[in-house]
Amino acid sequence: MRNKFAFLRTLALLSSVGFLSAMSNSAMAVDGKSIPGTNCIDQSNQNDVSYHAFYGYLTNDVNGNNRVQCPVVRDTMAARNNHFNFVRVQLRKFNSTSTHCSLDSRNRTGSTGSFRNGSVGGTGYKTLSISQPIQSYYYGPMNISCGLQDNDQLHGYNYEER
Amino acid sequence: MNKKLIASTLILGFILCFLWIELGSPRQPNTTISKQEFDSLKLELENLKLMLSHNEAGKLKQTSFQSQAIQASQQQPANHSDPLSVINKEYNINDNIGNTSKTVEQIALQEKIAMANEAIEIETKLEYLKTELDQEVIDEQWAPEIEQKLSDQFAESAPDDSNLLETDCRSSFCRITIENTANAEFNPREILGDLFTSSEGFYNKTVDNNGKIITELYVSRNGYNLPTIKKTDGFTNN
Repeated sequence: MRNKFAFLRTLALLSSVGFLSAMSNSAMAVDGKSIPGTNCIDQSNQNDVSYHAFYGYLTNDVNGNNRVQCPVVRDTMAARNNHFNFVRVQLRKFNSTSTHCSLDSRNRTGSTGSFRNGSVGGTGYKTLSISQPIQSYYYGPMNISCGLQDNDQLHGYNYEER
Repeated sequence: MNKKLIASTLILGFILCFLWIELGSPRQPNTTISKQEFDSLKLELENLKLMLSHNEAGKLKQTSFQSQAIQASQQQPANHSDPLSVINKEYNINDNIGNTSKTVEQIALQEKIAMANEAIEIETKLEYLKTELDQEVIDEQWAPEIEQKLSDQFAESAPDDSNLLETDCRSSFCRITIENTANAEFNPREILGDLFTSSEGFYNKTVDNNGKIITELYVSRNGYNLPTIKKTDGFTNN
């Protein structure tokens, strides 16, 4: 009887250790980040955008399409065919013309690259999602590029690496 | 007695958990190819891996692999005529921040292996996309129209000193070939404008004998993906 009790107690202990290690392992498998839009820069002229540092967003101040570039910080440096679980751009739109963004990935020299485009239309708070896979390169830089429409606000972007 | 049992079970538990974490953790992508023309490169790669396992980094400079795989992965010579110099600099940085678990030579070898894998993968993907496009039927409703739009978009947005050499669209994707000088560098994606708003692209730049940069760009039709190499073809998708 005593042995049986000890066995059950040991089994429970083992299960707990196993469960905790499994949880910690799965937590390491993905890495998400959420970055304010103020980290993006205008591709051609910094005077074409304004930064609202307190709220962390950027506004397109010119009429028509204006491209901004937003850095993606990688944690996983290995090349992968399917690097992200998701990439989302948080926008506030005042113009119903679609806003287009793309996720760009290059190798270290920039001689090879991959990209994935997405778009969102309508007005109000919108989420542009790029959920399809993209190729990443060994220690290659990545960024999100958006063509903002009139008065579009880029509030932030978030992504989860595999 | 009980204390001994618990202690030994705890130790066993920790060993099991360690094995679980080690064996279950994600590994670096293992890219394998079956193309005949890369066989020699694969052999060299295997040699490199062997050298890494035997920590014989000194032999690296004697291999012909250096001139094959690294040059293939650095197809834009520009200011990096010796790609190894760039890499070596990075090793030193790694060394300075105190990587005690691996030697500089081991890191260098691992990096060369990763870059060789990447070069092979890029070459393979380019060849695969070319073959797939050549085999695809032409959608007469879509292909001529998008080719014309691409041509117009290029005329409007491409920098000076650049030429559109080819647009070849079929039914689910296009190949666009552009020539430009080093002074007219641009992001290949941007010549597409807003024509491909929900698509996927892949590009590769090489330098021809005249010093012109040739960009081969593949882009999928909106709502489509580029063809992917299936595992059954001998490749690994991670």
